[in-house]
Amino acid sequence: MQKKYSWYSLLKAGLGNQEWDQAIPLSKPKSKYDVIIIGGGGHGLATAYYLAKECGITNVAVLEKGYIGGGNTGRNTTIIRSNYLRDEASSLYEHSMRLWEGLSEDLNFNVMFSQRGVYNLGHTLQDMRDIERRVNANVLNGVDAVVVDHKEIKEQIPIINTSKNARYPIMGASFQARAGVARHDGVAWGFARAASNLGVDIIQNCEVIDIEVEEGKVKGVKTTLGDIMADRVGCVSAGHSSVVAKMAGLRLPVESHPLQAFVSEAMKPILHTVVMSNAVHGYVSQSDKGDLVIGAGIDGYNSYAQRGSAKIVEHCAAAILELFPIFSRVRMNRQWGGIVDVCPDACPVISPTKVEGLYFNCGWGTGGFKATPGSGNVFAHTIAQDKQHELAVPFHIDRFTSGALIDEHGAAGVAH
Amino acid sequence: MFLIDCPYCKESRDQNEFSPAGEAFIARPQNPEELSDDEWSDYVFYRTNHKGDHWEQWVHTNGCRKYFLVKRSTISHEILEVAAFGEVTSENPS
Amino acid sequence: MRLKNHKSDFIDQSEALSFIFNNKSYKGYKGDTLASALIANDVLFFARSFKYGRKRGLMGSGVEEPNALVSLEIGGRYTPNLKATEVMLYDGLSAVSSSNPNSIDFRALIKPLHRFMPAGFYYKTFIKQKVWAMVEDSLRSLAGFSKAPTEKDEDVYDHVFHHTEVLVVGGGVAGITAALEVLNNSKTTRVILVDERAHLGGELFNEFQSDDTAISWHHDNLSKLLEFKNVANSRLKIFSRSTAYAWYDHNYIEVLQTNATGESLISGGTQAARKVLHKIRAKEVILATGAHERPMLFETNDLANIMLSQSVRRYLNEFGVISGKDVVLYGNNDSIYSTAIDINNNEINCKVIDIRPSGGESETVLKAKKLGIEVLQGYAVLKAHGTNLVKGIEVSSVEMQGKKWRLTGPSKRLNCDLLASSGGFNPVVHLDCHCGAKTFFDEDSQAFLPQKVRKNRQVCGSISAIGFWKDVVIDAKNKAQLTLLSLGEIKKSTQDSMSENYLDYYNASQFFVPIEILNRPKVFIDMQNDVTTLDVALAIREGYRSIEHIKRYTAMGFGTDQGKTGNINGIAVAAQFLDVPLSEVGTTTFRPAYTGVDFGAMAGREVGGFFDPQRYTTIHDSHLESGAEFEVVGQWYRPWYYPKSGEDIHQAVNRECLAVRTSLGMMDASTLGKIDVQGKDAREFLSRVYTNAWMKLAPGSCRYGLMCNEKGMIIDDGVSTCINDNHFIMTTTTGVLQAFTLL
Ligand SMILES: Cc1cc2nc3c(=O)[nH]c(=O)nc-3n(C[C@H](O)[C@H](O)[C@H](O)COP(=O)(O)OP(=O)(O)OC[C@H]3O[C@@H](n4cnc5c(N)ncnc54)[C@H](O)[C@@H]3O)c2cc1C
Ligand SMILES: [Zn+2]
Repeated sequence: MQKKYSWYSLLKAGLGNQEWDQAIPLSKPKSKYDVIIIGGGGHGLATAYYLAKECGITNVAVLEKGYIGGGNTGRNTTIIRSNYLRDEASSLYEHSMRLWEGLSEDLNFNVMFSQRGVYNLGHTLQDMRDIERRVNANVLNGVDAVVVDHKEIKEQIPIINTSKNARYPIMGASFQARAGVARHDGVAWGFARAASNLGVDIIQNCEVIDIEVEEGKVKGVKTTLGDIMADRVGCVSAGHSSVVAKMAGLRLPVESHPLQAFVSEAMKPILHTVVMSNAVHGYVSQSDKGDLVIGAGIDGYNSYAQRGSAKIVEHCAAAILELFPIFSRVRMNRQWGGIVDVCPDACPVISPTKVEGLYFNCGWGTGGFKATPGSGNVFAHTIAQDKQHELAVPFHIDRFTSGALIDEHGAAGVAH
Repeated sequence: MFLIDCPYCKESRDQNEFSPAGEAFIARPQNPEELSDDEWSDYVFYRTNHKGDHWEQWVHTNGCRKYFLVKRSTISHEILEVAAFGEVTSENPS
Repeated sequence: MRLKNHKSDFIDQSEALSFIFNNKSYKGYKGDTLASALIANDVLFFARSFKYGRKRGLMGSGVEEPNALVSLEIGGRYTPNLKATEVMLYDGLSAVSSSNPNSIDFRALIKPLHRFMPAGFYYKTFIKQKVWAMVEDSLRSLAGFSKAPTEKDEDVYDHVFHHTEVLVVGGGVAGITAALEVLNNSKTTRVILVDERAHLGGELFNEFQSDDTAISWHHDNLSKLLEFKNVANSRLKIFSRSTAYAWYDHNYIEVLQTNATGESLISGGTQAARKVLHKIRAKEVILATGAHERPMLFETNDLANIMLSQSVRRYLNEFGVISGKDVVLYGNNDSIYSTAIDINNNEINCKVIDIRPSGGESETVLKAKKLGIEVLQGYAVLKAHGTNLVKGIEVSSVEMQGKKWRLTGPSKRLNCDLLASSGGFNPVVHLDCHCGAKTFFDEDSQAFLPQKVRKNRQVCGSISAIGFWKDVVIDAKNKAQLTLLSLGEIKKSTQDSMSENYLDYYNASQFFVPIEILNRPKVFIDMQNDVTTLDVALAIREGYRSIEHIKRYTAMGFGTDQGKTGNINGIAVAAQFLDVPLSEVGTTTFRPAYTGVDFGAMAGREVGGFFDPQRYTTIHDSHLESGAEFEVVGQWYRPWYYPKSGEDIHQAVNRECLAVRTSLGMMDASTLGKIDVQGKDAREFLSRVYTNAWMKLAPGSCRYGLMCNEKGMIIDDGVSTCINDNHFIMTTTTGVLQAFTLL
């Protein structure tokens, strides 16, 4: 067992009377596990954690080709909300939201979940109609949401431009108070530490290069560190899902695209909530370090390069200046891209596959960070019981055959 | 930001002028009515999403407005080949 | 202080400028940077650090500067987080430290608690959600450097597009030579040469003191460049104060030109752009971006007046200023001797402490000794003494045992009021790596060098660890020849050889210091974020072993300087603690922007009314006359309702309904998208776009349908009309029209 983090332990360590345990111990792969998770992003690590914690399966390995959290988890703009339109989606994201609310304590690791609220702005009458519809749906589903008008927005965010003469004037917004942001790396590390504390092996620099399937059943994986056996394999490899699926002879209804974000130089805090706008294509929050964290739109072409086009980022900067003209002399410090796996209906796949013992959790596209605990939780149960968790049922991959799609383009769309 | 050779305009132009239009060589089934749900779903929704050299379609939106084929690495973004529809490429499916 | 008899090519002593820093008035000269002017005025403290609020002075002289963050001006010209080293002085400038070094600071007050706040502190505390929710905002108020702006920018920004055969990044000896070589050997090749400094010449000015041939070389080559530039239809463009900050796919490079930082650009009714973003598509790129010096590490290496050796040299030679009278140079390579020689020439007291043992000295070392400069070889600095300001140092003899330095002797104390160090050089490979290129660790220069071969790109000069300027000239010519060859301008390239010892300049043997020193407290790696060697050690002990994890756990390299002086040292520290070779640790990913880019410059003119085109119908004016309120649909402005005075929307709409019922209404649907579909498969085409059947629609009839995209998702609805079997007119909704045309 690892030592708990507390004021007492910090004091002891500060006085030099205690050494910290390894949060992410270095482990060597064993030859066989009950469950292998491919991908050490937030979702994969959360899956392993809940397998160990809630399903009693601790003989689990998470295989990560690079360093944990180095995929989209460590690249995202960390917006967390649950105000999705469809019942299926909002139930899943709300499940996740509840887990977020107790996550730091559960993991004994401060993931800095900060419920500073999220505004989804509306700039046209149609936007406002959509917002009203979504807020009504949210309320029916027990998700906190309200419609606010531009005056209220101005009161809450005095630096925002609500001028009627703007090219796309702000008319109103939906507001979710429980929504917010969290510290992305902390989420990966917190889950990793808690999972390894329960016996899970977290194996970094270990790339899965093939999946062994015999007579329709999964047998194990080949990796850059050797072969590892397991009867059950969960694939949580986000942008690389199609690549991993191919190893088992499968195709997926996803495509991988670049999604970019950038941060400004750190300034004294001036923006205390999260502001998103689909209409002008940009969203922004200010981190606890003081930098503006800004997310741009997706690039339309397929890519595995973790970089996108300059025009997308520049258009996004223009969009942010539409909302906040005062940021014109603020400077971009760093920009980057992730590889997002997008489903046609903008909803994820959490599902068994045609190969027995092989499960996929993918298609989170531009907005899966908020789902990290919920996704890991329902996926763990799905793997453990070989039966989809109740909340995961609508997200079966068969929906692309049956036609029971869950169109979340309105609420997921460009934004996150 | 790519520099793309439009096979119709015969000019290298900035990506700003073009729009990507998805994976290439997805042939529409001749007999939709006869397909099973699985086959139809594979046609509509499933993609190869290849990591490596990948054939895709682009359209010269702010130019000649025509669609054409591009073979591009999804790892390095290098463009290896462009072709108009109907033109022979290194990899036309039969 | 400013040296009395110093002759500088940059400082125009005839033009004095007055400026304000932290509410005090000072004088400087045209050609000064804010930093050099403040050194001239004996200002030593510039700002406080991020985490511990420590008082800091200048460390560097350019974009690498981590400490001296200031904001300029107020109102519509207020600009946060500028490095004092990048601000060219102008008359009336007014600057404020990002956090005032002269006032009381909470972070500094809780100094005794700092030991309880190691890297990763916040992950281990405030674990209860409710508690976190309570404390977060107060912790948050400590964040950030300068205050955020509060008013709309009064300036404008431009975007300019260029196509060129050759882009040369960096206007030092290498860049100047490469540009000229290309121009001289081709009649048509176009060249763009950019440099972030105000003058072309880079580090060469440092040679002016001791080498007259450097002066004449500079003079001759600059005039040759100007000959190419000052002709009609010139093939050469030169942009100074222009930084190439991002390299995107297919040789697309973005360069930010600074015309002003805080000075007003509005004069006589015209307004020049504050910054211009040049978007350059180049067939070939020559990177001549040079190298940044990295500091040596020792305890409390963050006191004011502990600087980079090369920066001290630059301030002295370019600006004629220096911030001490009793200088110690410390390092592991010959460049510290060059600095010492220049300082000595100005009759300022200085000593050299070289960590390398004596024996096999180069000419530079011998020259310094001959001048009578005191030299201690085989010594390391353990610690700097002084509160806030360096007063002296503690040194001890060292020895290389196996592949590691070990302390050997007892320590002794030396006095000094300025300490300048050099731990070797970090080639500026940033730009090269933005688009997928890799670096490799070179043992000779102890540096990460750019990948050797890359399509349509050459590197020359310090970026590939070639240091003697005469060798750089040869290297740059050679590389430009390869560029010409690649362009097909020449059939065969000429490659001349460099001097025998061309690699010596950057030879840093072993850039590392004894691990005993790294194990001391307050050995700062990243000044801006207060990351120390012990933070790195702790991260590793806690299992954060990947360099990306170390970076993220400690926040190393996240500052506005992007770790230009700290990152490579951090990697070396990690290598020492992990006990693996540096090459195995690797670098973190280099990403744009190399230096900060104003959001305004990114957006260019596409703000306000130009954010998106505004589309009006032909009868827009008559709507206006009728007092219409407008609704924005896509890019279009459509009449929403026509209120008469005193009417609200419902009253107006009711009146309108009644009018339509009792007389006549007219709706202008011309904003709908219209697609003319012609050809023999027109019907089939419609059937594939819409979900319903179109095979039997008779000519002259129309029908409504839902439209799907290639992925089977509904994207729009609308009515299409059959003109004849081979001709249909399709409509889209106004809002979706734009998506259709963009696809
Ligand atoms: C710029 C950007 C902004 C975003 N903003 C938001 C936001 O604000 N809110 C939000 O909710 N979501 C956001 N997202 C989406 C979110 O980041 C993702 O949906 C989420 O992090 C996915 O988590 P994951 O664990 O599934 O994927 P990842 O974190 O990508 O993890 C997948 C892991 O699998 C590993 N892997 C892949 N192949 C193999 C293999 N063969 N063997 C071993 N390991 C392998 C990868 O290295 C990677 O670490 C954003 C994404 C991006 C890129
Ligand atoms: Zn064309």
